[in-house]
Formats: sequence, structure tokens, C-alpha cells
Amino acid sequence: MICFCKIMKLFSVGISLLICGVALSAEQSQIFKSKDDIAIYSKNEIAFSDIGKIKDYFGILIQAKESERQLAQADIYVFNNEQKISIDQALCGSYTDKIFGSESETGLKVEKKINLFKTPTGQSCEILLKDNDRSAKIPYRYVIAGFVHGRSVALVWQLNSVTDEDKAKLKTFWLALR
Amino acid sequence: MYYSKFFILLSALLISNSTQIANAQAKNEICFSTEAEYNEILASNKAPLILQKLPLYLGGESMIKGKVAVSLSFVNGVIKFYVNAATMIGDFKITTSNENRVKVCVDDAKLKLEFTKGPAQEATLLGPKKISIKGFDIETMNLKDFTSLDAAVSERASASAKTKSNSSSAGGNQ
Repeated sequence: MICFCKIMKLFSVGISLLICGVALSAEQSQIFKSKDDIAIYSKNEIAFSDIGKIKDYFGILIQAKESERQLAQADIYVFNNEQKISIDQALCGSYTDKIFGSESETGLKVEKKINLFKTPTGQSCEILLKDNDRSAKIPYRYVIAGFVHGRSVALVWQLNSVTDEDKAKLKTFWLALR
Repeated sequence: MYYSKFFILLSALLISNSTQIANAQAKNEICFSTEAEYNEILASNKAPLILQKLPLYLGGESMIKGKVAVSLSFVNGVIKFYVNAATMIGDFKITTSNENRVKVCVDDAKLKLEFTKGPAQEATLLGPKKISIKGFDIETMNLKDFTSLDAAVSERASASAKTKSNSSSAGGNQ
């Protein structure tokens, strides 16, 4: 009888873990879908990926078919408690402050003013930040933020160099996200 | 009745003692975020052996977990933390990196990195040349070895996303 109870306990623990696992996969799968071949890894799966990052950091997005390494991978931030329902310049600026901190704290300077652009589901914004340190290992951060699936999301690419062509490519990728 | 009073007093005493111990440990902690502050600490001989010389390059690899390269160096008088790590997921390699200004705090047993954003990260000192951070034991190394480890971490594994892409892109609907 005792043995049977133990087996039932183990069984119920197993079922709970399975349910948790399914819930996690469901959460991951609902962030984005895209016609591009993408993969999403949560911060818990990638060692050191959350170090020095805020709690809204979700994980890493990879474009499998992007040949240029620096464009193929972006950090994902999901702002679950966002009250607003559309992006404007102020909200976009607040996200960069939230993710990185101010220029005086970080040495990251906004290169040009925040640019808003149209998407099928409203507006999104793009920001390019440059590290004031000339010897920085990650000289640029390119951010696109907007609403996907009704959730406020930002993607951050770490770039060694950046061209208008790169930015156009990443914006096209963003526009294909659903 | 007397027993319960005795236990309440005993627990109060224990809590008070542990707070005093914690305070004493906190007093041993030294912190710096600028080169000037670091030089003061060096001059007063309070820096632990692992921080006697900056820049500090650390790295390590594990068959199961992957590779990591970490550095602490001064740039324009402020200290910067850099991490570049590769994680193996099955046969696939995923890399991540970050570079931040930090405040470094150390005591006899721990090294703490306080970031502008996000929670602080603690590492355990395992000797003059080794620390444990996020379950990785990493050791000091010279610039040449660090540079090659950093490059090895960054090497792109081909088609690393393919297997998982189906599951992560299939579930959404708008």
C-alpha cells in the first residue's frame, strides 16, 4: 500500500513537470511566428545570457537562414506589464532606458533620433545606440520595438558595424514577424 | 509555557548573532567602479589576489555546458565587464555576449558584479586564479589565450537553429 502511494506520488510529480514543460513551450511558441526560419531559446536555456540584463529579458531569437552572424541573432525583451497599446517616441525611448540605462550610466549614445515606422499591426520604432568607448567589443546596439501579438516586445541586435542595408534587412525581418 | 519563552529568546539570540556576523562580513567588502578607486584599494593592500592586476581575463569550458570568456578592464577610467559564452543544446551551439559598466565588490569569499540594470551577479572566489560563476569554474588566463577562447566562443555553428525553429515558429496566431 505504501509502495503504491509512493508510485502515485511520483506519477503526480511527473505529470506536474510535464504540464510545466508544455506551458513553457506554449509560452515560447506564442511570442512570434514568422515565414523566416526562426528559433527562440529562453534565458534559462542559454548560460550567461541574462547576466547584466533586466527581468524583462526573455531570451534569444535566431534566424537560421541569415548568413551574417551579427544579424542572425537578437536578444528578446517582453514587457508584460505595458499599459499602452501602441508605440510612440516616448515609449520607445523609455524601453532603451529600461534595457540599458542612461548614456551617463552606460556610455551608450543614441546615434540618431528615434525613428517610427509603419507595420501591418500599427507602428514600431528603431533606435541605434553607439558605445562611446572606441575599444568596445560591442560597438553598436540596434533596437526595434513594437507590439506583436498584442504584447510589447523589443529585439536588440549587437552589431560590430552597421549599414543602412543591415537596418533595412532587420526591419524587413521584423515586419514579417506575427 | 516556559519552554516556548525559552525558544523565542533562543531564536532571537540566534537571529541577532547571524545579523552581527552578516554585518561583519559586509564590513570586509570593498567596492570600486573607477580606476582611481581601484588604485586606492591596491595601495591599501585590500585587494584580493585575483584582483591584484587588471585587466583580468578569465575563461573556462565544460563538455556539457559549453565555453565562456569573461574580462574586467578599465576603459576611460571606468571598469567594464565583458562576457562571451557558448551553450551547447544537443548538438547545437548558441552564443551570447554582453558588455556593461559595473561596480565590483569583493570580500574574502565572494566577488559581486553590480550592473546599471538587472540584478547583481555573485561569483565565489576559489583561490587566487579561479572563480565560480553561474555554475562555471573559470580561471585566469593571459590576453593571448583569452583572445583565442573569445574567438572560439564566437565561431558560428552552422544551421544551429534548424531543429528548434519548427516548434518556436508554429504556435503563434495573431
